[in-house]
Amino acid sequence: MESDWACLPEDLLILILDKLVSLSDYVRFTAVCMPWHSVALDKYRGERPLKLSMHQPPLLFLTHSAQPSSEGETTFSIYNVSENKACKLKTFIPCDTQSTYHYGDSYHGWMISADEEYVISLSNPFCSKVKGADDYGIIRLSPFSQYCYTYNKVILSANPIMAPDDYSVMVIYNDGQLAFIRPGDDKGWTCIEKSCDFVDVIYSKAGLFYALDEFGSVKICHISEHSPELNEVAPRLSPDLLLCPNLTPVLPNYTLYNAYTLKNQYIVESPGGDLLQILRLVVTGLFYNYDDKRKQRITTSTTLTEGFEVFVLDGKPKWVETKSLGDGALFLGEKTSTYVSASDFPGCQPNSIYFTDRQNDTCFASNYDMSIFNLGDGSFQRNCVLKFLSTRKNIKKFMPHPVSWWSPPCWIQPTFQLESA
Amino acid sequence: MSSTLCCSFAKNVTLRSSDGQTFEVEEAAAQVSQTIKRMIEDGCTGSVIPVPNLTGPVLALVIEYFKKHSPPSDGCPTALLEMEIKDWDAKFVAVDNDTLLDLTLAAHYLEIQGLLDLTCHRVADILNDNSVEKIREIFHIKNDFTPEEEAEERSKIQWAFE
Repeated sequence: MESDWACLPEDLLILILDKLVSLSDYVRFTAVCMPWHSVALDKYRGERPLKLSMHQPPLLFLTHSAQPSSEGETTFSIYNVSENKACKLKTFIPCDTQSTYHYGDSYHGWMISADEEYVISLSNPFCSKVKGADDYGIIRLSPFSQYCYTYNKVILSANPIMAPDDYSVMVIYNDGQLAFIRPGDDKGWTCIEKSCDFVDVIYSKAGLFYALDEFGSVKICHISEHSPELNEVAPRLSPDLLLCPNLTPVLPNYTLYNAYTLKNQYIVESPGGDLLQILRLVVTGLFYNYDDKRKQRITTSTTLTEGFEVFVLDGKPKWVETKSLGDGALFLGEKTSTYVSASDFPGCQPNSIYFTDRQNDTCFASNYDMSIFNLGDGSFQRNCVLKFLSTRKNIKKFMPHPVSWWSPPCWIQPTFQLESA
Repeated sequence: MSSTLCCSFAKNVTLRSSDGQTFEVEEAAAQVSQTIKRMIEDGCTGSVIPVPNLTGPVLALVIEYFKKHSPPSDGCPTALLEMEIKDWDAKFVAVDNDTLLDLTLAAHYLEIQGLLDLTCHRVADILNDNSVEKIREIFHIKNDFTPEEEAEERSKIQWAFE
């Protein structure tokens, strides 16, 4: 038998494709030769790479060029933490325009930006042709109702590429209230009555919105009925777990004049469908020293994540602390979290939390707070993410524009657009 | 010569490869292949079963697989046995790429689901984390894109390449 891998029967190529779990492997498969290309991009198989993209370790979106080129192209840099490499990409999508900022938000590969009036727009830097988007590839949502709200969090129930007419967007307003919109209909935003104190929300694999409040309780938010309602599915956390310890940050050569700690709460669904609540302890210190030469006082601040606590909801239901995510690698962003199986992706560490800066900290802090936390032994690998960005050459190449608090680095899942889209 | 006529306790069949080599194997083991199972059911057991798509060496390998995966005569396989088979499988497909291709095509032709799964997994493992150039080199695949097509492909999916 003459060996010819290029001309394997189509059903064999499909069997091989079905065994690829990494989207970049899938993408490279399409570029090997014509026969492989046409099988992988067959329109009947088109959903496969899109489905894959929802379960990939996200990339770290670093910065984008301030102005599009004369041809309308924007350049942005992304960093692959698990493979420790970065690249610059070109897109015709204006990721953030002069007056809209992403505030560290992305979901299913979509950057979620807002303008100064907090009108939300969605754009996918990896895809240009999407149904429901304008000529620039941007989906603009209706403005919030008459209230002048800002938001803390935005999530989508589905990828607009896969379900252009059938997805919902849920926000948590800055006062902790929930509201949603279905871009497919004209009804505008619906605020959910009596919802307050919410700090995080996810859309589960079972197709339900789970919202976490500041007491640690979780409520399912039904929006399909005529009047949306909330049903509690998880009790509050014991209040002492939400208390913050007093910690004293230190910065060499500086004097501390104020410090505060807080615990951020996140809700995450594991691949097996378990609900997890994550507490992130963050310590901020404000410092000063005196510059003798310039005869002036210099102030600066640091923000550092000092630990995580993970609770899993058992059958009772009750929150039980755990020190193990098993094979899980959790990419925790201020706005979006992704949970993958580390064994599927070489370079991903199991039982680990990969985290980035909180949006508000980037505004003032003199340091980045991005690193990897091992839940098993409680250790941090502080240098892992930042080492790459610590050389002048890499900064010049991949972060030519200073990071701004309104567009901090954030996780983004790669999307692979099909030609037929 | 008349082994196929022999009515021993475990019934045997004879398989003949494209280059005329014949192999004797227990009927139960050969039925790991859905294709052969159908042929047996259709009444081909009295004579030699031709396997024209497989050369002797490949058929010999496939028969090794049959023997390892034939249903045990004494009830359910134990967990230990399953582990042992899993290890054996991993070693079985740790072969050069020409043999891997032969085995994949053989599993496809003979409808051996387990072996097909195994070989496709092995191929996927090889694809894992290798560059496009490296994949072409490993599998001896000719790049049949024009330079323009290739450049366009890459620009679209640059993040997966660099």
